[in-house]
Amino acid sequence: MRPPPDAVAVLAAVATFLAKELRVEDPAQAFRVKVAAHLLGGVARGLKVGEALDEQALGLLALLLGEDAPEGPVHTEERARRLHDQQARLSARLLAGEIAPDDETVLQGLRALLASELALSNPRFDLDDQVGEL
Amino acid sequence: MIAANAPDPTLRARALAYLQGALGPEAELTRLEPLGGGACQEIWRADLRLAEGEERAFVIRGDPAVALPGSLGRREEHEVINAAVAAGAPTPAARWLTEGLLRPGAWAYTMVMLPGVALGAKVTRDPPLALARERAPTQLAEALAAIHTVTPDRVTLPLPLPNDPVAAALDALAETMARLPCARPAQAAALAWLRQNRPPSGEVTLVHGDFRTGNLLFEPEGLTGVLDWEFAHWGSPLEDLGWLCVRDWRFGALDRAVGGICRRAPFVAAYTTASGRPVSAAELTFWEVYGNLRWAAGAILQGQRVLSGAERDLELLAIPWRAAEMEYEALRLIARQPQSPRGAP
Repeated sequence: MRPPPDAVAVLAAVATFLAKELRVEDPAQAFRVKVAAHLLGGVARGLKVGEALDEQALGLLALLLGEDAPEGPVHTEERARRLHDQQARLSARLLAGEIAPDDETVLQGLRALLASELALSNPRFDLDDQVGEL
Repeated sequence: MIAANAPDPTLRARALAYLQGALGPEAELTRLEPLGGGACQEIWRADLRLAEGEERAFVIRGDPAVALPGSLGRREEHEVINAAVAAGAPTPAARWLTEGLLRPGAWAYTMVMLPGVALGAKVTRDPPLALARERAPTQLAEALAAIHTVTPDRVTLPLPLPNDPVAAALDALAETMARLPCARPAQAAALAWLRQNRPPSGEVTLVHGDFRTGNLLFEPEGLTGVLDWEFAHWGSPLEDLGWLCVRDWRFGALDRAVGGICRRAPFVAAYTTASGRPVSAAELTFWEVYGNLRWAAGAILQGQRVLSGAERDLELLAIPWRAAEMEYEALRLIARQPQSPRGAP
């Protein structure tokens, strides 16, 4: 085993440095530094919990498709392929009218899928139904 | 010192000759530099000193090397803008259309550079713009109502004319979604819902197509101008209202659904007053879901431009991650609606 820090720790530290410590005069450059920090933070979170979230997504997609959840953990490439395949089939069935888009269970499942993506890309996104102006 | 982005001397000479042709041979070019903004735009700021010593600032907009899908060229945009100006829309006239100024074969035109702030974070929050935000429901509504008085029976424009603007909008969206690198079930659900809940085709008017915080200039006294007409098209006028309410243009001011500037109710009431067009909550929701879905799909495509090597912009790379936010918002809007009747024809 290699000594620490691991990739997650390095990315998180660099993201924090860019977001909180680095001072950039030019406003346009300062904005791009914030964007860079945001991207690195997302990658760090993905390395840390992305696999678990993908496993969860596979289960949710299977539920929405009315299929059996895949058994046991699979390797990364196979998981990505399955996700891609399930997303394509669910999308096709929604567009074909075989699954009602405004069914409460369907909406809840789709929102849970998005919530797991948002946990990586924007953990501060408000998932609350009452957020903002109704 | 010469700035890294200083224009080449040939361009400077060409721009001077072009502007002197319009403003007189005594006009002096005191500044010519690219303006920040869209990564896919060719925009220059040109400052001039006229014969009487008067200083004037202009913006030259030219065709980019690679245009975004569905966007107008400058030649068509020039006609659209001037039709909107004639109808009373608060936007600077497009002048002195020319070919080959910035690049061989590329069209360009010039507009007066307006004062004001467009940046979303400032427009939605800056204390000096508080009065502008107070006046916004009426001013935004009146600007849109003016744009929407341009109709195909009265004005000829170089734009495709749909028979059914709702169907055309949904078809364009489906085409965009088909070009995505991965299927998005939430988008499929939202598109299916839009198809099931589409309003009647209704009237066709000029639609700005990108009327949102970021493309609207404000001074402390109020709205000074509507910018960026490259997505203008004939369509349903309510499409512009829904687009202005898309989540991403709120810049964190989530309680102000209309571009992070004001709430829906006063804006919609002002639009009805200005246009004579009633807008039901269901219609606004339809076009808001449509807008969020259009931007969710568009955001993923923007990132593709970086990944394919066509662009190298860090900000573009971060945009696709925002798609999930707009998808979530679309589903949230759908979940709030009463369910559509099952089995109805």
